[in-house]
Amino acid sequence: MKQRKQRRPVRQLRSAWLLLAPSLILYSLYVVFPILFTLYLSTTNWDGLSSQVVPMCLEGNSADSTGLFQVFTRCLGNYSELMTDPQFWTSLKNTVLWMIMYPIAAVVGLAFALFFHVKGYLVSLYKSLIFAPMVLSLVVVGTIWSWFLQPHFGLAEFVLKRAGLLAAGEEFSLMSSFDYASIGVIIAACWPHAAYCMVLYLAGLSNLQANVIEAARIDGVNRWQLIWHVIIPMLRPATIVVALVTFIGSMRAFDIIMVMTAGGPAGSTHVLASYMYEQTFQSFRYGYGAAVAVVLFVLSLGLIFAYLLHESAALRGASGKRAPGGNDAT
Amino acid sequence: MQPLSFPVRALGALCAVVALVAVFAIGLHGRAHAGDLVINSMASDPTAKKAFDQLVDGFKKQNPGVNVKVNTIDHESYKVQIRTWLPNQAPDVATWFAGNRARFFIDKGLVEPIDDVWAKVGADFGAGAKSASGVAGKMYLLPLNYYHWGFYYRKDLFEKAGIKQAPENWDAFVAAVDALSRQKLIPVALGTKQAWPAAAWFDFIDMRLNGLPFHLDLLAGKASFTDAKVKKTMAMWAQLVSKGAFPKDAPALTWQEASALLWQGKAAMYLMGNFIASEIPAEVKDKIGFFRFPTIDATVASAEVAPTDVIFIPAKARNKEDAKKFLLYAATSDAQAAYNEANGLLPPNIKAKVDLSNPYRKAGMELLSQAQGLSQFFDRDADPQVAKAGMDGFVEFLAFPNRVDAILSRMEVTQKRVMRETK
Repeated sequence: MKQRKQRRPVRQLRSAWLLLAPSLILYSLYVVFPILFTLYLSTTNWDGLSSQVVPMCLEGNSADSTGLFQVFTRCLGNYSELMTDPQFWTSLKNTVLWMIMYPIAAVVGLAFALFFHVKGYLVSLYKSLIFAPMVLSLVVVGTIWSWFLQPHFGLAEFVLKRAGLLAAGEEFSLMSSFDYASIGVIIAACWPHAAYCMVLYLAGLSNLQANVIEAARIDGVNRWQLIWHVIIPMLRPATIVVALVTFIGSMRAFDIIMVMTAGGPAGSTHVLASYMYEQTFQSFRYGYGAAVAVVLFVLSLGLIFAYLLHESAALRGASGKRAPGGNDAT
Repeated sequence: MQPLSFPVRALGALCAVVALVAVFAIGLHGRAHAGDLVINSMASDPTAKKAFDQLVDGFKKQNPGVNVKVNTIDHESYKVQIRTWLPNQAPDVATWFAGNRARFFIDKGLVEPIDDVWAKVGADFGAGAKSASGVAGKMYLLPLNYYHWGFYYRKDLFEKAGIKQAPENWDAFVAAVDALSRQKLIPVALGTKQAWPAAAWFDFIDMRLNGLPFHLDLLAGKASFTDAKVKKTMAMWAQLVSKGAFPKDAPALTWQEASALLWQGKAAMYLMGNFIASEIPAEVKDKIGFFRFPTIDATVASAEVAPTDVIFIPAKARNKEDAKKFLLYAATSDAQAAYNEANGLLPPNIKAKVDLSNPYRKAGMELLSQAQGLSQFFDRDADPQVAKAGMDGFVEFLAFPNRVDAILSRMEVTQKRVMRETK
């Protein structure tokens, strides 16, 4: 009996590991290893061709390396170059701009969801029309918007001229502006994302507890109070999901930028992801591209981690508060 | 030891199958038989693919014993992937570009010298094509096609602006720009959404002003971008920018969209490669003409931009014997004539027949056969990093011409780093 008790966990452990093995192997092969390899790559200036991939500080005549610290700093050459690279700072600035402006889509999505959370056959039609861009590939969205915003031939210019907001000889120059072209791309990306957020919020809305809303109505709240103090707090789980997909979406903005501007004019709409691609696969600076990738990785990991910590603490706090007395507010 | 339970055994079997499939996939990816001739081609556009297939078919007819296998890969992927397969599992023949892009691989010893092929076919090729195919006296590449660059212009708009003839020198060109501006026209169409069309301007002004040898030295890193000669090139370009020669919204336009400005009669000239000739709409066909980029310094030897596509044999190729047979066939005047007739491009083989009823091809043949040297285009002559920095710099320069010194010194920094890293 005693013997069996001892042996069984070992066997269970073994089969547990065996069952885990395929996903562990695949995960380390396709996720962990590439991350570590990217870290390593970022210390080299590999051109994608040479058979040897050696960190910068170990290549050539290492005779002039005076100390361990110097060797170490020379390995980080790509990172110190990043600090003085204006294109890197432009890309970082645009990544931050994306993180700030992309959530507008979530707000619009919430507004749509609240507006359309009623029954009626015309409402379904409207909902599906608004949802339509979500079904399109981002490449299609980008192409449509770059036609729409085009100077000389675009619909936006045509409308603005008709409305008298643009003089006849002028061109609509949003997408050729070094300062504002990024905003054009973000607006285009917000179009399908607002639809996505609307769907997430609609799902959240249909899960609300009807009796809470009823109770609030009986207590005589007006519409805005109901939305602000009852519905939006109750939508918190949906908001967490929306915030996460919005944040992740803004960090991996890439395809629509490549379609609409390819980073131009002169790199002014690059974000970190597209700059990384350009350096790696167009300029063939694999090491430098990897360094940009590491910065992007650390940035997103840090922010997501901080957000999750904050959210789980808030959720715990909220449920802790609610537990003792649900009706102490009135 | 106890027998393993069912799910564990099933899992084990699954793992084994996955491993086997992986091994097979890697194995099959390589090659089948030693007698095969494997060709990697980036001719992926329908017209280009048709022309290339036709070339291969012609070779098959003459060499029925050789089993030819063509892998067609799209342009952009090809440029990235060639770095993976060229040093490892190379095909027997590969298509590529002349210029720095080829020199990069040649310097690394990845390209087989083909002096024996050139000994047989050399007499059929012009001096420009020959110099583009070798490095330091050794021949490595076989040119398949090239095309010319120049101005496509609206004859009707020139007439309206009172310009009697196509400008042949810089002063006449600047005068034409002024005359067209007075008519409230965009003198020169330009779209820099993909940055490369801007680089053509740098290529031509620098070549016409400083000569081809300096231009190629500059792009190969043997001269400095902060040189006074380059500054003079930029100053001449800035002269046009300050006159409003280019559309202000060029960065938002692709080259095709910019060409619409020409077709619609909003713009009067367009500096482009001859691939545009096949896109001229029927309605304006009669109104379009061609002229060469005007002379700036009459003492400078004439040179043209003529991007050349080549084929070569990788050093790691397995079937070099048949590969050379293929190159010899592709060099013949008949093969080059048929290939370029299907492609709409020009054959570097000077004995190849060209249908001269097309006025643009006729102009191109004259232009390229008279040229004393050829450049390959900015992004083919320069290292990819320098090309990228340069083309972005030119787009910025067109919007902010007064930043020229900062732009040039940034290009020089990139150039210096590339020289240091590739050493």
